[in-house]
Amino acid sequence: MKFSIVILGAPYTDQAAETAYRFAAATLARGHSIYRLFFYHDGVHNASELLTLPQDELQPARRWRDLIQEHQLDAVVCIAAALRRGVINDTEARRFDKPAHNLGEGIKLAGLGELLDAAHMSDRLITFGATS
Amino acid sequence: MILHTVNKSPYRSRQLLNCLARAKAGDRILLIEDGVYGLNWSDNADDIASALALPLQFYALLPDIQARGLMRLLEDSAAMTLPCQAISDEQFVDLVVEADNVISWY
Amino acid sequence: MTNTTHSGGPEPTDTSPEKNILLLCRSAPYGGALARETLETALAAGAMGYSVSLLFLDEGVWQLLDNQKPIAIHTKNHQAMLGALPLYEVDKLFVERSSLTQRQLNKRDINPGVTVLDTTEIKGLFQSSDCILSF
Repeated sequence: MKFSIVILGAPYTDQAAETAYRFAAATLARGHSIYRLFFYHDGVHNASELLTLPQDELQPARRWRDLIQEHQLDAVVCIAAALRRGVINDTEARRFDKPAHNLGEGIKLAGLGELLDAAHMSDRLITFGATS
Repeated sequence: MILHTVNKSPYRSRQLLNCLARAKAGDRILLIEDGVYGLNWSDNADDIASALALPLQFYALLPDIQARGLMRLLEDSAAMTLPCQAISDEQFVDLVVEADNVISWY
Repeated sequence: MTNTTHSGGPEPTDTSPEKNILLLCRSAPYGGALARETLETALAAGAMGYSVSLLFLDEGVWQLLDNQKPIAIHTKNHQAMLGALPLYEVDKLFVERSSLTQRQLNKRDINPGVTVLDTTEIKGLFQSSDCILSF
């Protein structure tokens, strides 16, 4: 079955992204495919390369990157939500004259059309939210 | 059948009540994250009684139960006021496969 | 399975039948970004020709109040975004009656373009939707 997973929670602050990561890994372990990971709302923070945790803690950005690379997953961060929260790639950093960029490797910045496409094309879509 | 996930403790948030109000016969409710504190939901006997009167199946995510020191509830049916079947991450995936849709209450 | 890499918005494909996508709007506006980002999803869906419905439940019903004036809190008007939905042909808007009554609201307090449903009808809406986006 084709799954899409929507991640709305920031790493560390909330558990949602961690649950989503475990769910994604379990989906693949069960032999299903992942059509798309879509990071939206505060979930866009998961895509920052600059997340820096103490060495004895799990590194969320690295774990997502490894999962995405190992399984060649399509991972998309909503561009509007990301730019508003300071998650940006080199192209957008140049366009908006920003001094740095931080979007993780293997993750694309794209529009909400990718979320609707995922809803349309996947057999199952699940949202991991965090808002209190 | 719809799978509802709830990730907030019923002691803190109305999400479990909100979910139960919209669940229909045959739906499944999965407690995740702080939702697993619902295993011993006990501050509102009427709400619990009406939840249990509905033909719903309740599940709770085992890694979240273990993490929070709640394993004793699984062995003590008197303490587990909301009887749930503890499931793994992989079984969570199976529940999503079996459901027509998933609604996340958070 | 192929991973698509669209630069713009993907159009619904002809290969699979059109799905009914339901967006759950369960957050109040202004206190957090989720209400706004849900409507942005709805506007994007309308602009790209996807079939979406919006259901306002629980705290989401506050989005529908008339006379919002967020200028004092330096925020864009949420009502204006709601008003834009019909321009994008997003016109299937629903609200739950009990969510309104719990908050001492009734039909005349809210946006007139929204259909009031009983909870039983909402359970039917969940069942008839092909995909539910839980915001």
